[in-house]
Amino acid sequence: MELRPAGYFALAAMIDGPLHGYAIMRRARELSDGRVRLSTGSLYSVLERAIGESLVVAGDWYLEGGRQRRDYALTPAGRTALQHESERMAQAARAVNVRLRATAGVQAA
Amino acid sequence: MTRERIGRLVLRCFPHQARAQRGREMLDTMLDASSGSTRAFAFEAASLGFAGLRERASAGAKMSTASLVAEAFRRATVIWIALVLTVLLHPRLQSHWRPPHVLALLIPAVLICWVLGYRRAAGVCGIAMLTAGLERRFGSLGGPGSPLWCLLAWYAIPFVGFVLMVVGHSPPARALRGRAWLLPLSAIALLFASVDAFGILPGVLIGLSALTTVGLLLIAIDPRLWIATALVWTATGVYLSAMSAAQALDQAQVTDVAILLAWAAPTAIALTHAQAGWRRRAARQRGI
Repeated sequence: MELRPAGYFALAAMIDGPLHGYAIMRRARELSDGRVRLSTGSLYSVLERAIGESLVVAGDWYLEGGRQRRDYALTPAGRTALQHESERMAQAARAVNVRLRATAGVQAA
Repeated sequence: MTRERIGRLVLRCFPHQARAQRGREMLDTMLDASSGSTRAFAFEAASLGFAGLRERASAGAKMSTASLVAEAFRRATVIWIALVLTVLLHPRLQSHWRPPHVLALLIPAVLICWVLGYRRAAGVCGIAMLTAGLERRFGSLGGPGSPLWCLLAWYAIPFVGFVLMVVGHSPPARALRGRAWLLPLSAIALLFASVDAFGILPGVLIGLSALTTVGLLLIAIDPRLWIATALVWTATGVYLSAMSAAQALDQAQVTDVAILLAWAAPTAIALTHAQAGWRRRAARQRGI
């Protein structure tokens, strides 16, 4: 299952523990240095698909400051998917960096 | 209008089940995410509405084509009944023909049972109605030379629809809002039944065209109404072709249009099947 940037950072937001929807939105923004801004619609689309793929589990509803919340947590399969995606991106970045460094002298000349 | 009220309206874009399950949670998250900024609220509301429509569309794509067509047959039958009621209530017909009492009871009974969610009862009433002799009345519309198979073409869809209502899966009866599409249909039917400005057949066709337009507008979200109207057009086309072949109508005027109409349902079903397949592939490739 391919992870797109919004899904990747939404899942990454839950690495440290279960979070509710709004907390996931804020954490994903922090982790991506503001580059990924999840909207409510895209967050819940991502969470529904992730729950369908058993990458995330949803807890019970509770009230916090008059707001209805539910915590979402990564499953072992979710952590594995996240790890595979980060390794894939790291490998892709390494391959490009190696070529960029190797050709830096040629370009400069 | 408060933000919460606007949010509740936006949530209506989601299917009923999703709304009942996590509507409150999504609304509260949206209000948190957009607090303090009207622009952020507009963005969040639009995003939530779009996600809801996409979820509705993907729910439709998960249904098999057979289930879609079966449900469309049931809806086509309800449309057919409403059109028959329109014809029977039309002033021109009222002046020289009154339906037998049993039909006057059974036709509204079908519609009421359907609206209240009692599909099996609607199906039983419908089959009783068909066997109670409505075909005799419509047989006379085709003239004495009208072949039996003209009538069979016209009655095939409601017959299949009523049988599917009786034997098919019956979802639990819930709020009447789920059958809200019947309201514009009823309004159109009553309008054409009470106004004598149109002939009987043109009035019915205008009503069906209006409903088809609604079905086409909803096609990306739920194609069942579009298929249902296409089924009624096909029945009309096959009926007119058969009548034309039996020389009860002027062939030159009717044949080309009738043949086009007869292809409406096969085209609608084939396009919906292709669209569902495309959506399933897109959903698989889309990732998370």
